[in-house]
Amino acid sequence: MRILVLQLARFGDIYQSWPTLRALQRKHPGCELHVLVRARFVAALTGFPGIHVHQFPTAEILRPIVENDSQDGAHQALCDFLAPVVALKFDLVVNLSFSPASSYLTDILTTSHTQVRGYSRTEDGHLAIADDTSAYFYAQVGVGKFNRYHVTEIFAAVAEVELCESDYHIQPIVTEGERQGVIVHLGASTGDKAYSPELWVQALRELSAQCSQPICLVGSAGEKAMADTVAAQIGSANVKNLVGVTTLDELFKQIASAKLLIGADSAPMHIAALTATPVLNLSCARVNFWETGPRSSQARVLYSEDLQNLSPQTLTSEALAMLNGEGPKNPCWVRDAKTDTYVAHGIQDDLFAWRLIEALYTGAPYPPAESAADILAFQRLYELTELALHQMDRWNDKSAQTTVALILQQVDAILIEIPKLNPRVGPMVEWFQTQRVRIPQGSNAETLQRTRDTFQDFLWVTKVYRQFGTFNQEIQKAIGLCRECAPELRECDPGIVQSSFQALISTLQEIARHSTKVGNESWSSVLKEIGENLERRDFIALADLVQWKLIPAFELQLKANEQETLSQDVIS
Amino acid sequence: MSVSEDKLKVALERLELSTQKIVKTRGYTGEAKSLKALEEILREQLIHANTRPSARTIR
Repeated sequence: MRILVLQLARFGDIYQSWPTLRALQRKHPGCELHVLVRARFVAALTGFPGIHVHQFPTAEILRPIVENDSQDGAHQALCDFLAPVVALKFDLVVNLSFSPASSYLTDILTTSHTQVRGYSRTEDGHLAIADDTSAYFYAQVGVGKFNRYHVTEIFAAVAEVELCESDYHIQPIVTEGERQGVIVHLGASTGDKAYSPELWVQALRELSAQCSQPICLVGSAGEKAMADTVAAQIGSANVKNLVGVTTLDELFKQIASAKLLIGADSAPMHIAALTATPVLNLSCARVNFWETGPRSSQARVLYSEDLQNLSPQTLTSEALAMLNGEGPKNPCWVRDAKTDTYVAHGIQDDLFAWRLIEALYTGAPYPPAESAADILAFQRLYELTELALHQMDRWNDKSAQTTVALILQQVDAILIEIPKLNPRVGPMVEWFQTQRVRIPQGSNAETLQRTRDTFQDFLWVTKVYRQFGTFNQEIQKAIGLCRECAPELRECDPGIVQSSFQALISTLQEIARHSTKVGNESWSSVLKEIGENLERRDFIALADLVQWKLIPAFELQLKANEQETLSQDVIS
Repeated sequence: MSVSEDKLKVALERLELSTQKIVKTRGYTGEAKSLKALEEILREQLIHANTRPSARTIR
């Protein structure tokens, strides 16, 4: 069997792909495993046995453009590189890169008999997401999202392999007794993920004073000038500066025999996962430690939205605690065993969005909505979906098609705005949008039906959060909200009543869906009046409307409904 | 923007146009595939993309 794995990201992702490559070799004994990486990052495959490495020559391909403005030359260089790789006729191509470029390359590198995993392209050039794991990645993975599956596990799932302990450890693990020293990686792949040099100086000065272990600074040549300054300012014989002088292979060995690695989300930390080296990770909002954080069996994550707000004392005390085999001293995330997840220590963990992801993808129960804002957002999603479905039902009426298309466009535009207002519902919208991307090519009728089915699925999941009791309960709720809002509106301070007023509007809209009139007026005229008053910022008029029009009308409606129930009881 | 970046940007614009033309007249052919791949490789250079987040702009 001939397999090709595309990993066109950087050092860290290549190291995080090692367990998957190993598991592929285990799953397909005797397979011919080829790996395509960018030439600039090929060193991250040093030491990995039994693979055929192909270096994607980005610089050479682009050189004709840079030097001679020759687009044809660049195109020819790309084709020349790809031709012998295509000729290998792979049985399985696994794309672990999740980028547009890699999806086109995957498409080119496959033949009709090739099995494809990961992003590719359809026959008409649209993105093809064949497997569910890649669809999950497209929807839920990335900074600012709520994914909690580690990319190492995601890579394995894309390749359809189960990881085991030995897949992580290509080389023998150094026992704890033989380990020595602390490795510190001062930099990161990008500057905004790194701790500042001033803070490193303070932290490492204190650490070197309190710790008998030798401290070794590591990093790339680009980080050398900064590391030289830091080392000079620490001024301790206990601190050795090897930044810019070690190869990745040497770094691998150093990390493998260290007692602890300290650093941001970068290649050394991913190497530590392969050498079972304990890690103290400094993490910030620019990365998501859940998906690219340390995977060593003993790891702690010190998180601060802005890394520069993390005090050097916190870093030092936590590092000392880890070296001394003590429990956490500061709020942090702790990972105790490889198969385990991170556990919050002294941190309030907001699980709603993650539980929502689990419900959408694993069939776990949907988490209860915790706030009025969440319920409102789901309500809006439900209403938009219902509207879209109604419009699609009208599509076959030719005279309505222009209007229907415009409304559907508006639905699409509003749908993506809702998670911007309330990111906690984002996973649900992302799931839905990805399902739409996955709709295959087909005739107009087939595409309409598939789009309709996808909206119908979305309606079902948003319905979970749709709160509508009996009609009388909703009217009672509306009366309560009217009474709450009216006095505050009279104070002309909409800020105070914002949440209850929003809830009132939502309840009114919901009641309006189940009745035609409020008192003697139509719902549309009442809602219009509210809208006009809001536009004029005439809160007194709004308060009057709520207090003198809505409350009496609802009370009358309640009484009428109760009498109707009573008569039915008498009759029965 | 450096000279090379400037050249890459101009090349990208030219490439986008010629790929569009090919797709429109001949469909998504083998040539169109490799030109689209080249287009995306160029784009990655211009936005200094970490390839993972750039996946979101697909399609």
